[in-house]
Amino acid sequence: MQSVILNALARLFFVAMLIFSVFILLRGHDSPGGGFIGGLAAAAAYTVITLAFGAAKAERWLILHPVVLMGVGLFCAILSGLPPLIGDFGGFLYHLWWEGQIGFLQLKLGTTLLFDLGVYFVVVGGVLSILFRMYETGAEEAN
Amino acid sequence: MSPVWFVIIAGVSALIAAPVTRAAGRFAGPLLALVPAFLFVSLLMQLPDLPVGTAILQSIEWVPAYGVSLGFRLDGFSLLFSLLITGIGTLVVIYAGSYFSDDAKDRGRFLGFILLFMTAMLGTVLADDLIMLFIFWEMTSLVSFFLIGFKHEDAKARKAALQSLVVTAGGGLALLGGIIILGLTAGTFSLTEITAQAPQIATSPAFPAIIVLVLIGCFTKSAQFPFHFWLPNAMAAPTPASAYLHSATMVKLGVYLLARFDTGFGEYLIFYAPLMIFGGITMLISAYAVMRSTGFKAVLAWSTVCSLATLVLLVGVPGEAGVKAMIGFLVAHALYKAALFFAAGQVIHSTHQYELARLGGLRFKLPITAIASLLAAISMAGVPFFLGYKAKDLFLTAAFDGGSWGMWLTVVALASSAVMTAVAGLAALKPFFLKPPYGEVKLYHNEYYGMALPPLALGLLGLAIGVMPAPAWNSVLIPAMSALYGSTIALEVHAAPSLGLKFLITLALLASGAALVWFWNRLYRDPDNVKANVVFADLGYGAVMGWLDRAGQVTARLLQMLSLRTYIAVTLGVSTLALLLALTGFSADMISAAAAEPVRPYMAVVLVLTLIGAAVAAFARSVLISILGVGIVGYTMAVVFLLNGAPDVAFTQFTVETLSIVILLAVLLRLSLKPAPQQSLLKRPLALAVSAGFGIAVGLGVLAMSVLPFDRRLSDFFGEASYLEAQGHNVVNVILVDFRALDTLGEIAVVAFATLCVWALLRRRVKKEG
Amino acid sequence: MTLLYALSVAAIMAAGVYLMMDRNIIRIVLGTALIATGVNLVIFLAGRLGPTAPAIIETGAYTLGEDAANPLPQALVLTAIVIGFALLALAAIVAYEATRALGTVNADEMIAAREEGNPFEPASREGSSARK
Repeated sequence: MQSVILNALARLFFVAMLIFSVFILLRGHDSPGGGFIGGLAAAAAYTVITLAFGAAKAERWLILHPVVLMGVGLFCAILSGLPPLIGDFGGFLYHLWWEGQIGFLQLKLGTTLLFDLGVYFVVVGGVLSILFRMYETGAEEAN
Repeated sequence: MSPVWFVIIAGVSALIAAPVTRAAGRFAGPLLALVPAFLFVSLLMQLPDLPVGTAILQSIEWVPAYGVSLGFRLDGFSLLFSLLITGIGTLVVIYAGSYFSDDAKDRGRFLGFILLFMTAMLGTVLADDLIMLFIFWEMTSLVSFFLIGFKHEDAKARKAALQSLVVTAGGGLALLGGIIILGLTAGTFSLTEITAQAPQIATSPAFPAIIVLVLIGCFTKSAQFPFHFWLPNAMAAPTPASAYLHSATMVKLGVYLLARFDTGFGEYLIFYAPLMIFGGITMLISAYAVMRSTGFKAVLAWSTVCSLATLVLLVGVPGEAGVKAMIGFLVAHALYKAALFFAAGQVIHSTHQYELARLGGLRFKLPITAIASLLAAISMAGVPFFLGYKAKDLFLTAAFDGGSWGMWLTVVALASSAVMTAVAGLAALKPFFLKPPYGEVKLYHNEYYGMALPPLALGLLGLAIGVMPAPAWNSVLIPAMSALYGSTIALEVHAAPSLGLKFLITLALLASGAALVWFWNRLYRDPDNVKANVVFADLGYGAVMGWLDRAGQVTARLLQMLSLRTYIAVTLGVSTLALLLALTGFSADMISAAAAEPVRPYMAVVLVLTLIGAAVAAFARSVLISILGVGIVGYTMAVVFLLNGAPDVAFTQFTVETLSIVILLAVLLRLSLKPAPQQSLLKRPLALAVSAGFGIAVGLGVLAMSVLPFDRRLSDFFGEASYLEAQGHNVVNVILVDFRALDTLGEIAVVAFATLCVWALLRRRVKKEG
Repeated sequence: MTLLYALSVAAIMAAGVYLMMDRNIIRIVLGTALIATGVNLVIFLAGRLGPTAPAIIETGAYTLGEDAANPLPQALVLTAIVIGFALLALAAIVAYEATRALGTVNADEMIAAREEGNPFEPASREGSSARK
């Protein structure tokens, strides 16, 4: 695991995959992609880091604890379903859309994005909470 | 005050009993007794509002969909019962306060249970809705369980508690069955309405089932043969509980409900014949058993069984005479038997002596208790100028008018009961007025007033009603009789005995009772004594419970083989057979039809790889290679999805497969096991047969599925609505985050919780090692 | 073609069941993973195969084209795969913990070990670490 080339490649790979994962999360509503796939791609990115530098480093790069991340994800998903309940638009998880223009940027935003973000976080958090634990445990036992 | 309030006030007092006891200390008994006393007075104040033949009905909707309501009914009969419950309840609370004077914690617990029990009892007798009646009825059984097992360190008490619960709650189930059938037949659960339409119900084919189930419920509660054995065992309860639950009130609930049914169904043979038969048998058994009992409380318990049997029998006696005698005897018995239990409790508490034979000569040491006991026993024996005399007089009248069918039975049972009752009454005199057979009885403490005054009050009440009968009979007892009989009953009660045949019989009964007391010591020394006690004890119950135990063991051994292989073989073997059976309609043509389809070359190569992967996974010698095989299957599946227009699924499958392998390898490496030897193929014929059979069945199922017509409606809807209604081009994603978002939310929650479990499981390991 | 798919389903299922009837607890976990994969394939096949274009509405169009694959089973399978992964991980970790605690990968021996007492109670834990 101490190969310089592998380490450099791992960093590169990580950044590329993380960007890719956000990209497929965002475009998921119209092209192949979405929260599940994006989340798995992000998790794969952190897996690379875990395998290359160990769980501790990967956990630092994640900033949030993976279990907290799962909670955030579930919270986002539930939150995305609440707006229609405030007005009289429909039931829980009836998604709303907003279309508009900021400067020259044509935007189309929906509460679906927040929902997909929730899915993304849950998947990332779920996969990584398992993975980090496995490799933390491994580190302790190796000592 | 409307009926529901009685129940609510009692319930609140039960809830606050424990803290109040803690705060009030020694005065907790008299203080908490104010609640039942208040209820007693309030009930008495209802009397003017309740002329003979009327009832106060109150109904609160509860489960309107099933016609269940909180229906209350206060008429003469339930008023009588409520007066007994609250009146004796007042005395019991005072008595228990002294009884548990040594232990404040026990006192609080006990008083809480007693008041809770009072709530349940009031609920039962005030209920008009049968479902509600049943709930309170079961509540009394539960509280009884806790009170019998009050001394929970004592294995015998625990056993007796469990026995009473099994018998009474088991009977309660039968009662519930009866009530439900009755409710469905009558279209209502209201006791009032059911009584009104009794003739129609009696013609329904379900009528015999209703009666049998209700009888089982009542017989278990009131300890009638063949369920009589639990009551003597229930004497493991503290004496105040025995006096209250197992003599004066709870065990009379069976009689109560039977009497309620008697109003509507009393003229039907199927109802009254069992009462006469089983009541009579129980009377004979208990009359014999009481002569063979040696424990103070055991004698009282068996005589209680006998009295309950008398009541059941009297409910069965058709006509006015039976009702009169039943009510008279009910009240007389409640007063004198509770007093005798109270006295027994005082004696046992102060002498630590449970055996009647060893007691004697306590009249100067426990003077108030001795007087109370004497008053109660005289009433019980049926001496003129006591309430018990009038009760016995009515009893004899009912027996002589018992109708052609029950004549001989009634007279025989009557005689045995009278003798037995006299014996029990006189035997209660033994501890106080007869010479102690084994020298002076040692006294551990002097008479407690809190335990001496309640029985005295009951004894004096028995005398007062005997000397001055008019107020009590006219305002309480006769209205109760009328309420039960359904029309006004005329009865004139005089204090003085009327001379005649019945008076002579009464005197003869007294004389024979005295003779039995004279011989009692000799009977007690009978060496057959122990055997005789066993005969009527709970042998049958023990046998039934033993069979249940063994049946459970056999079933567990049969079904729980503790082998995953066997479970899988059985489950999947049956599934395979079911699947093949369902597929019999599909001919072999479908296979040839499927074989004739064009083959996509790339796909064929991929699927061949799948087959290889599956084979490797199954048959590889090393687990590592098996994981590889599983990986091959997973990756080829990803390709299958990709080539069939599912890029999202393909990518997910691909990533998940990679992560799975990472985790499985991590587990495997962590365990650092030597390659586990796997048995060769031929040594596992069962696994091979089951797996091959299941695989073939599922494969055939897939073929059959492909020739079935396909319903595209849902898919088409998603295809059409995805962009127009949900603003998304990627239909799969739109389904996930919009159309079926709630599903997805549930699914990510499953993912979150499953991984949380993994995380927690591994954390334990880390902490332990750290 | 259907015949080949059916054959694959049969092979995956049979291999899964065969593994689940093994003594080695890790193989049992692998068996469950295979069966999950097989079931996903069955669900996918239940939506019928045919058109092979992704289920994506083309730019400018308002509804899904005729040549697009059936989106419904895809949505179902997609979530099933992720859940399957979470459950596989759970099963693997439980198997791992059981093996660590009981000192054997043999499911039969685990049952026998369970009869001896709870490994998580102090007395028997010493016993199990002594065995290691």
